[in-house]
Amino acid sequence: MGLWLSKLYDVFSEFSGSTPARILMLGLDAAGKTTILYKIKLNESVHTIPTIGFNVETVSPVKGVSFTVWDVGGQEKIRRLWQHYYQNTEGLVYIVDSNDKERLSEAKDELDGILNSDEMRGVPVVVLANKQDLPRSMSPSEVADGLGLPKMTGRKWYIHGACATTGEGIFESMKEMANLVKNNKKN
Amino acid sequence: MRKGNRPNEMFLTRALEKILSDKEIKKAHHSQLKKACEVALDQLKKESSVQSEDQSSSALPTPKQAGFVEADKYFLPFELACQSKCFRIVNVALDCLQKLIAYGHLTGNAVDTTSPGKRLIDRIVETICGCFHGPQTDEGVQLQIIKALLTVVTSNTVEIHEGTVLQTVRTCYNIYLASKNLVNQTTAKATLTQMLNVIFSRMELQAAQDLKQRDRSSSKLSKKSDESEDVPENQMNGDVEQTDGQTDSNQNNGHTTADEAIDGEETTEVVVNGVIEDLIDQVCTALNKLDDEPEGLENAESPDMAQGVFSHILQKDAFLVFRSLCKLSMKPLADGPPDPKSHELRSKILSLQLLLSILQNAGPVFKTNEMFINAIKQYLCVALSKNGVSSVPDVFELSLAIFLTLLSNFKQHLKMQIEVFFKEIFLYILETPSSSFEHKWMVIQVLTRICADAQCVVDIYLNYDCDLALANIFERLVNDLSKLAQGRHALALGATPNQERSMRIKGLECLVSIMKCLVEWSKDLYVNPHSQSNLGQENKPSTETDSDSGKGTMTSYGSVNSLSSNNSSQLTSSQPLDNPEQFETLKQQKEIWEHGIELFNKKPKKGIAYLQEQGLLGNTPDDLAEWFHSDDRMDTAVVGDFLGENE
Repeated sequence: MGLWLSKLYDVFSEFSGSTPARILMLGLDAAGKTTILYKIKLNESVHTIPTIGFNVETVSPVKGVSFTVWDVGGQEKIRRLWQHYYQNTEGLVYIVDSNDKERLSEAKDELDGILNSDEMRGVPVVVLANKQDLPRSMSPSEVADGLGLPKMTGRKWYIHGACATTGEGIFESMKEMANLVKNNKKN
Repeated sequence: MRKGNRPNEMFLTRALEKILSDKEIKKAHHSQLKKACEVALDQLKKESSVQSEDQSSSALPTPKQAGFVEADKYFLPFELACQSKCFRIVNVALDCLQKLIAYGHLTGNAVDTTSPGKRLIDRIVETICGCFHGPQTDEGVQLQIIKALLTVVTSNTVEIHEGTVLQTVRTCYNIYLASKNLVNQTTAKATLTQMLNVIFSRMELQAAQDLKQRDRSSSKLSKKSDESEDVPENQMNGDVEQTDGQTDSNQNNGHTTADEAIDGEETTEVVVNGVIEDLIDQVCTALNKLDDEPEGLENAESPDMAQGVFSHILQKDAFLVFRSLCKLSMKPLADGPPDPKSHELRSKILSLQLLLSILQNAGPVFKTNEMFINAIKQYLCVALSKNGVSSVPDVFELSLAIFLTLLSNFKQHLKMQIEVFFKEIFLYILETPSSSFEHKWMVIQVLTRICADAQCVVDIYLNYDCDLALANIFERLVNDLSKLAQGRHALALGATPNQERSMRIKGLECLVSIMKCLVEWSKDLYVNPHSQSNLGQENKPSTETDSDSGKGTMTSYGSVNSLSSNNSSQLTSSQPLDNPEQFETLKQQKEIWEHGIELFNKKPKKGIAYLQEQGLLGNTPDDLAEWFHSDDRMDTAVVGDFLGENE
């Protein structure tokens, strides 16, 4: 009976077109990608180690929304592997360490590199200005300027301050991501 | 969250409970798995009652420092779960294994109690790979396998070698080929790229450290001989996998298990089969015929090769992977029009792409170790000679890209092979009316790159045109290019007038580049003509280097104001000095030889008389026999006739 119901559910969900959207989560090393992934998935805060390969989880941050989130390691020498994960991406979550002023321009360069690729054309981007809990962190608008978001054309973007350990700002951002992905699909 | 448990144990507990909560577990055939999970859970509970309290989450294992638990003893339930054939259970088990390995809790370093001579990690990898049963495998499971294998290869806390390394690569490779899911295909490819990066850079890193270590200890010896060895600084560095204690044990390990590993490779190799071996031998002998003197190793059977000299087991790992990829790239395509979705073609393209990236990132070990050089000659060049004439544009283009990389990084080892590529592939395609425009266009692109490299241009002239026994590649290249530029070449198949025009322009561009190179080189002569000839006179043996080069090494020539070529700087240690006069004599001699051979092919006696007159050929029958043997430029029919009618 349970199996039958779940099959029925599968059929329904396929009809309503809610196969999980492919969301790619990138950012410099130690920005907090993996922590955020598991915060979204389990609403727990975890100890993480630097990701060398990738993490992938199916999450449901908002009711009725389901994402497959790909969290790919951000260390410098493995960033050129990011491009392999672009294909069919429906939304980009870009995590920035708001406390790391020195590397904001590096974060900008990497973001530009991602968005300039053909496969990422028109893909909406949600930036999480992470580590807002730290006293000297930049505000989301400072981060937005540093990344050159206001000058960006041809794609929808959204930025929100966040704190991975408390979960502050993360779920709002995922909700926005869901909207952007939905709207982008319609067009 | 439960209190009183350490998070790492909580992570294990949670995974085991998840497996137990699956409705499938109640079925009779899972009873063993169920029992194993329950036993493990009990044991975890007992252990945890002793432990202290911790508040953080159990969603992931904790990093090692925060509370280390050796998870190896809990492997059994996961092994059974992986074999359960219920994809939900397999999924959970693989995910959990991957996380335990990533966080350093599962090292598998102990001996595997079920199969002596192997370590637990070998069984773990086998278990993970065993979850893949071809295209029917659940797509979620496929992804978990890829993820877990990538972690196994990249992790700094897990060590795998030889057959096990091959198995990880092979499984990802097969998932790329077999999976119907596009996401899994691309992920598998990305994973393969990253795995190979790690395997090869580990090898280079180890060698570099070894060197540093040796330097340091020798300098230390000179200062204070009995100072105790301090901890190598690399242990502090997260990037670094090997500490020296491990290094020694690896080497022993490498020697004892060498045969097994090779056997293992042959039996488990799904994609490469025995047919390949025969094929290689066939093609190898064909290629070796072109070598007047093949080096000893070239004819060796592959298992012998693998036992050659590696100073570290990491080198052997990399070698095995490289060789496997070469073999994969050699597999012939099915007859008929190429199907881009076929396994054969996708496999060929993937293997060539991976080979290209290995060669482009090649470090000092790869570039100098005899084993790798021989593998390039024995496998890669054979693969290239087959794929270099492929009608599939992707395959052809990749082969050309690989050739260019070989030319810039390995040319000193590949003199014979490069001659063959020029004669049989590039120039042949340019000269043949039946080649398609697309092919010709790709060739001319490659030639554009080659002609722009001054070192390359000069090397071609000095190594081939000035070698008594080899073809005049430079001359033929320039002739072909000028015909192309003048539009005197046969029209390419199906080319539009516009395409023809761009081809002519390209030909002209190549000629211009060559001229530029010559001008640059000649500047040296004008700037400092005196030093040049002086150097030459003092250094007579340089001709010997050149006559020796016929045995397969390509020499690079530098000049006083050396040009911007990376090769000239690399070769400084063994760089022969320039001596234009010697090359001029050599070239003159070669022309006499060529004239003599031409005469011989028309009238044998006349040719021989001419060469003897010029003092190039001896008068005894032995001299003649030697010449007939070593030189393949004579028309064999004429040689036969000559030997037949003469007594």
